[in-house]
Amino acid sequence: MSGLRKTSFNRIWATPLTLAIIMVTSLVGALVAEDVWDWFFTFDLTGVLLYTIVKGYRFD
Amino acid sequence: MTTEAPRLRALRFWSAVHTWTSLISMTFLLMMCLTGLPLVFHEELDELLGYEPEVPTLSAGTPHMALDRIVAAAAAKRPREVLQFVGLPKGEPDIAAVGLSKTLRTLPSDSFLDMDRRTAEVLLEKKPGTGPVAFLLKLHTDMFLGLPGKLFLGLMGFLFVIAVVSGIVLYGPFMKKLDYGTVRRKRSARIKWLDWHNLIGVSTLAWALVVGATGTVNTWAELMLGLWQTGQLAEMTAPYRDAPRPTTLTSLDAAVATAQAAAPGMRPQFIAFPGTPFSSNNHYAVFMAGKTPLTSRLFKPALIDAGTGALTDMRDMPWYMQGFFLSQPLHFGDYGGLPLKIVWSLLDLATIVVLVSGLYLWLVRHRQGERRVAHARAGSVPGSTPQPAR
Repeated sequence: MSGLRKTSFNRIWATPLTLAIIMVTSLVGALVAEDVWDWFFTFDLTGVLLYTIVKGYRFD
Repeated sequence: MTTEAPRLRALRFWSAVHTWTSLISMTFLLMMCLTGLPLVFHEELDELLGYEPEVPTLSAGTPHMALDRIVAAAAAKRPREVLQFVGLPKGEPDIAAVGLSKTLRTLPSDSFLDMDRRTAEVLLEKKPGTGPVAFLLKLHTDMFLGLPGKLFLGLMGFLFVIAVVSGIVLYGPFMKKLDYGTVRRKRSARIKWLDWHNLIGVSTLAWALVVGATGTVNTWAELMLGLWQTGQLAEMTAPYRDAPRPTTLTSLDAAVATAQAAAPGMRPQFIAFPGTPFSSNNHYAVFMAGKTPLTSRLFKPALIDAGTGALTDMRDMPWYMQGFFLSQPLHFGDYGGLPLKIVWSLLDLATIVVLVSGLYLWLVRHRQGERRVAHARAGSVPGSTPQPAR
């Protein structure tokens, strides 16, 4: 039962949590770093947006 | 039954919280998202519209003139005004922005002169609050209502944060049978937009929380500044409380040099003249900042006796001021160059989609509810098969 709950939790939250962590890391990272790192963190944020859009258009 | 009932009650509670916090703040959030969109590009727009100075090209290595000479040139240009502030922007090494007003305590300054530090020539004269970008900023921050407007918008920002948090709480139960990213485009428009609302909302929630929370903090700027002035600044200047302003001020360059010597590894970013709200009657307040992207936003005021030129105190600003300084870039997204600004504007657009789709979902549901009540009153039971959310 708890295994089932865990699976359900993972299925629902794994992706949103990962995206949130990437986003916070990028927002704070770009504030702390500069030059090439700004590009890197901006690329991360763009990736989150693109992933969301692609996912949304994937389903029927 | 025993466990489902409280769960259902909790779900209804969070659903009501999500609906009403969103609806109450909706109009203002849309206004803030729409005005925030061009504000992300405020530097580019100001430059395009001629509100940024054009720095002439001089031979490389042209030395900077003394700040005393630069502020004297600015004061000569505005003989009826007094010197209040000098800003030395980080990314503009050849510019000194001099603020002047009719009285020392006027805020914001009546005029700003962008001076060329190499020639002491005026590059641009600005009246604070003029121009399209300043108009949008005023609308965005206080709707031209001053402090009450700011605090009201802060409350709206807080409601937005609660709406996001309640949205997170609701996301789990709604997604029990669906995978992340599901958008049922072949179903009704309501279902399709519900899916897009959930997908974009949950994917951008970290950004929405950061921008919402930092926006709320930004609305407390005047309160925090007042707290600092009556707290730390008053404490630092206590020995001078009843002393009159010196008739002759010591050299500004010497004051800056003293501050720099006391804070090696930092650079002066902002200087307040004696008698202004950011200093005492007797001090130059030289606000030193670090040289890294992060520390360049955190200030350390060095108080220099304007009569003797001696350093009397220097402290890090309190945590709430440091938090405020950091919340500004995190709200406006102007700290990672143009690429980050573009992504910021896309995230802003995504939030507009979430807001508008949320309103649409509420309207549709509201109309369906009204129709059901009307039919029930008429004696029929249409929609006896309620439209499933999933």
